[in-house]
Amino acid sequence: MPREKFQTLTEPMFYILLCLRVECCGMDIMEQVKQMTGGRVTVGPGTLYNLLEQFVDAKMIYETKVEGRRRSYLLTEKGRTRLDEEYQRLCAQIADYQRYLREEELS
Amino acid sequence: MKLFGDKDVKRRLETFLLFDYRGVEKHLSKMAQNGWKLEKVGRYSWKYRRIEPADLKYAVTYVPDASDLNPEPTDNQLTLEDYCAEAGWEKIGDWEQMQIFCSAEENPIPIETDEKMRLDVIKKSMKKSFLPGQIAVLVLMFLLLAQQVNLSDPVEFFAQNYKLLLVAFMVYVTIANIANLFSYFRWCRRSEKAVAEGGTCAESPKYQTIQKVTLVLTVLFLIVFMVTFLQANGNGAGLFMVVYLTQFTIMCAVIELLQRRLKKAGVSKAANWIITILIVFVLTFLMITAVVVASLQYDWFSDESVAVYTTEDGRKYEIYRDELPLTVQDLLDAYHPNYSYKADGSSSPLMAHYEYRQHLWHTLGETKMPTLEYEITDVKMEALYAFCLNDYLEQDESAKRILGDDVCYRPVDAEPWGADAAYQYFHGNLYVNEWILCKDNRIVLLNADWLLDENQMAIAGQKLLCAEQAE
Repeated sequence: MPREKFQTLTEPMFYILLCLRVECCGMDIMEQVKQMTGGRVTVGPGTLYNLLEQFVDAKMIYETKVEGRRRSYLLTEKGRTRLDEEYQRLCAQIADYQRYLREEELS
Repeated sequence: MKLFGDKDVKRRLETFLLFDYRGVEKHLSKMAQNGWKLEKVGRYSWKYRRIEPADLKYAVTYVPDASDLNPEPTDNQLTLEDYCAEAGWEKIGDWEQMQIFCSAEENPIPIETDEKMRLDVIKKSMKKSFLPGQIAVLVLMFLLLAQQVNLSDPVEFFAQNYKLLLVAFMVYVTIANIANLFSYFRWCRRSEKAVAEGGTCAESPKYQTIQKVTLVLTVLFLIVFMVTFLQANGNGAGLFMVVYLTQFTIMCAVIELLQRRLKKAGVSKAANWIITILIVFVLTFLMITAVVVASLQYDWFSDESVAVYTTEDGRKYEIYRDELPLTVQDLLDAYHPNYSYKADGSSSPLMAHYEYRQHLWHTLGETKMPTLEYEITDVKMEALYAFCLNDYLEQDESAKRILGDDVCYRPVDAEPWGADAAYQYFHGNLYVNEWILCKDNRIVLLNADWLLDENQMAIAGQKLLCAEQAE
């Protein structure tokens, strides 16, 4: 059975969705992600363009307005849920790390 | 492959496979280092303009709904262009789904930062034009091969140099095409594996080598094909070929112009395709009809050395005066000044096949003169001998339909002919004056309108089985 799309979010996916918690123009996302992560994560324009299209198809974001060729997007309820799930997954990962590696080192 | 160029502009025939984005990126960066910047991607050539040698960065990406036939760039192309411009990438050109960008910045953000996504988009894009195109060529090649490889008449097929050449070239194109498809699927598999392991899409091997070899072979083939076709069919064929190639070139130019005009007029990609295909069909039909009609009307293929014999009642017959290895006069005391002696055939490295005919165009009331017809086939490749002999011995369906199932060649005494084996044609228990004679690598089919006696058989056998044939 094929894996459901966006079951696990890559870093660029995570940050794009995070940017879209508020209405944001596609073109501004690249810069925002860079700023949010201190340049650690970069999203290329090709990747951004394709991911936005796929997020729209998966109903995780929706187009709010089109001004000429500038399109703005916002997170949907489904997108928000996926972002929360990813957050929970990352927290669980961190918790596991702390429980097993740190505690073993301390003991 | 450089086509031509003036001081500041250079046009090159590029032979990339559509999915080979790495090859394109590397090539364009190298060109810029050598002082040539890509300016325009054309259907037949890419245009470069001279610049100061520079370390330009090139990035190639894909938009699945893009096409050379779209009247305008699609929304997706324009959106991508805007995003790329924001990241410092300038759009240079596109080729089908491939979009080519350039940046003069030292470390621009890569256009693709997710290799899985890049691979998915490439695969989606290749389904739009690369794969259908390659498969269409493959199907066309199979159809042409099926039409050209005429094994129902192997002797005629194997003896024609230009037909063998044509088939060899088609086989090469088919193999090159399969190799292209194989390269693509292999690249996909390797890329999927690398991406799953957290790496990048696979490096592009030397895909261009196959393409360049194909291009060189195509040019060589055209030259050699023209020469062999001319050798086989005479000067009239040369004229036929020149007219046909000129028409073909004009047709390509017309289609190019038409597609450009349709694009400018805002005609959709689908409508552009349909109109183009219709025009190609109509033009091809008109072109072939015009060449065939002209060749018949002006007798391009006529042999001017042939004498024309006009009977008392005004009918005209061609009389050939070719050299024949065996004539009626060698066997009978029969002579007529208007006998026609015709030799026709061809020779290839696999086979030599010649047909000979001596006959008289009779006028009303004239005494009938004997006719002699024969074919001499020298099979130069041993492996083909049994195949060709079987072809001679087996009766075709049309003969069976007319004469019934009991027509066949039966073995007869070969000794009178001096042959290794001899067969005579029988219809039930009735024999026909037609024989197949075999000696060494030679097969002779002899047809006379009288029954040869043993003495005549010996003469015919000696002359036909030992005659030198043109190579």
